[in-house]
Amino acid sequence: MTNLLASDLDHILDRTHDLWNEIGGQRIFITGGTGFFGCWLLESLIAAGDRWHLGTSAVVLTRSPEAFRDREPRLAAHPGIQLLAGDVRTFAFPGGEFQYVVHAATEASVKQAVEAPLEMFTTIVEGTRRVLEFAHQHGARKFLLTSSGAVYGRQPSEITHLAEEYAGGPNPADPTSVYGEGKRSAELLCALYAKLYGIECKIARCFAFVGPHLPLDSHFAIGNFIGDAMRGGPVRVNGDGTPRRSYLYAADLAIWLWTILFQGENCRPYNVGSERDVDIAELANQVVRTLNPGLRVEIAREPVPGRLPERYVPSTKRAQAELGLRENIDLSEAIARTARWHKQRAISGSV
Amino acid sequence: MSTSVIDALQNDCAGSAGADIRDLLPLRGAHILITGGTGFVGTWVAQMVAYLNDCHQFGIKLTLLSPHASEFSSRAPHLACRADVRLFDGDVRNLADLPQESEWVIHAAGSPDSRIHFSNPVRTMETIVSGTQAVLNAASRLTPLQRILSLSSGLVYGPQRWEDAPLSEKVFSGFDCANPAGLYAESKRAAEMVAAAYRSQFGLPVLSARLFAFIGPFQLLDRPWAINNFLRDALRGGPIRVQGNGETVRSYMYGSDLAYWLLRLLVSGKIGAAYNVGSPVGISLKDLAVKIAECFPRRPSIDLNTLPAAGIPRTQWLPDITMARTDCDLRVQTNLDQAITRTVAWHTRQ
Repeated sequence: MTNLLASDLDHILDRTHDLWNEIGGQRIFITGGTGFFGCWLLESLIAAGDRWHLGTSAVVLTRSPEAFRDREPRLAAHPGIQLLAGDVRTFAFPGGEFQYVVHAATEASVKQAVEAPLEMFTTIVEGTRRVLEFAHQHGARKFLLTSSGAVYGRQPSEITHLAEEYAGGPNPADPTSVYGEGKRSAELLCALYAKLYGIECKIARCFAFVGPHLPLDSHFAIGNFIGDAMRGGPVRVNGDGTPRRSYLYAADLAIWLWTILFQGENCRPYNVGSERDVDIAELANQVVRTLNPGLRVEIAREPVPGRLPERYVPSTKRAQAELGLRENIDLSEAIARTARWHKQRAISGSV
Repeated sequence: MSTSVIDALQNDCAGSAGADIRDLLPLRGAHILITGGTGFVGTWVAQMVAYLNDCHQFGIKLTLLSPHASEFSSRAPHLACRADVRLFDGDVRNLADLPQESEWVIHAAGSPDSRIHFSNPVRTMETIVSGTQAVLNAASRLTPLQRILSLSSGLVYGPQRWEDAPLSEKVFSGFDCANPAGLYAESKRAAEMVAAAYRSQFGLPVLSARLFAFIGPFQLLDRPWAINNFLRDALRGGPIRVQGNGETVRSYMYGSDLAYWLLRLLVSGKIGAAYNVGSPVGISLKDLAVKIAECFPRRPSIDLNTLPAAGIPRTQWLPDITMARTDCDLRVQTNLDQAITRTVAWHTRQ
């Protein structure tokens, strides 16, 4: 079996080789291990373990081990990975010591936010509480929370890149704020556990990403555009194409998350994402140029003249300056690699 | 409590409600439940209900739910003994059901006392967030339910800088949520979020009120807020000790105004909205101390800088109350001078 991500994993290991020594022989507990973030964390953890014989293993909490085995048989079968069935709010604590806990369970589905906001909110808040309690009881030293840029609320149009010092928040009276508000509560819980029990809590405020494992049929514009292009177009833009977004490639994301877990400062949030923003119309055109220049881009609506663009773009100066993190892979390369992975995966089954 | 003290409280309520109480008519004959009902807010709402029942024959039945129900008898014996006020011992964190006849619910549980918060912060957050969830969950099973008013805090906006305009509900500011100091404010944000989720997902008729700072009878003077401490110091004969240089600006709404506003919002506020409740008239703590001192025949002295405030930026905390005025025609009826005079008189006669 060839790993379709081999070159991406080399890219990650080349830039993280100094980090892994401290987890030699350790067990890591990972929630949300079967999602986009989780797959990349597990892929890179296994790759590092195999290359440097770290003897590290991961216990991965998932609601459905069967679904994970079906989708990721190679990961699920790896001897360094043990699947634990359970809900993040109620799971039974596995025995033994876990010095490292990664809480990457993210319910970022727009559908759930609209249809079942209460469940989304309680899953994030009670889930984080339960995982922190587990971490505390099982000897965790370092804890990573994958938070979100949604904690800042709506980015003011006049701020091009949002920094961690920006003290905004979403509107808590608006039911569509559940994701961002839930992540705010999750961060607060981390801060409380860090203070009460001395767990080093590392907070990654994640923005938008692209890469293998990203679903092409979800609510992520970039995934949909790549999906449209792979099906032969046209590439459809809902809306007027003016919102500005940026995308960090998944392999870079993995480097950033591991670095923050191992070397980030306790309770000091780091924005994680790309500073190279494009508007959505330009993104669609970039997907077309990269994958199939003959395709048509259809934009649903004309922009309103003079209106400032909506933005969701981080400043990542803190991560760059304090942790030496970089964006290594540019957008067109990221799009090309994502499409190639999906194509090869379709051919080779699910491996 | 003497008759004159009780009469004064009734007069306060009459002044806050005004001559025209038609807007409160939907509450006639109604069952109102207040969670956390024996604190400052609940006591004042009970006082307002007593006024409406005694002077306008409203016939409201009020239930005060609280884990400290027994303390209420000493705080407000004239209310505790009333036939239309019922005390109900219960904690919102392990709440099975609310009294089945409850039609209007004010969720006021959750102490704003920061000394309690930090003694057990995770539990504090749980009480506020899960407590709200438990109350809304139980309320959603009430057959006669009309509306729920969930009490939040003006702290949800985060610190108001000196150059900022009064805090409007349309401003979605915040603060660093990865800082334990934000415990209470973030928990209140989360509780508002839970309310919004219940409204959106289950159609629960819930709205929120964001409370600022208050003054009045029933306020406990051992609480860690400037106005409580100033009154305590003054009643002891002084000096009134002001931490810092006294330039911090706050505003204070009187208890009976608060009670009237809450009942009005409960009846006519927009479902899903969050209304600021407080006084928009700011006063520096230094001037507040002077005003309190002036109420006493033997004026207590004022000590500034009892705790150093070096390097602490000057702050203010003032609500914009346009939304309550626009939607419900609410106004501040009791000005600060009246509020202070009445509060001092109440404490002196206690």
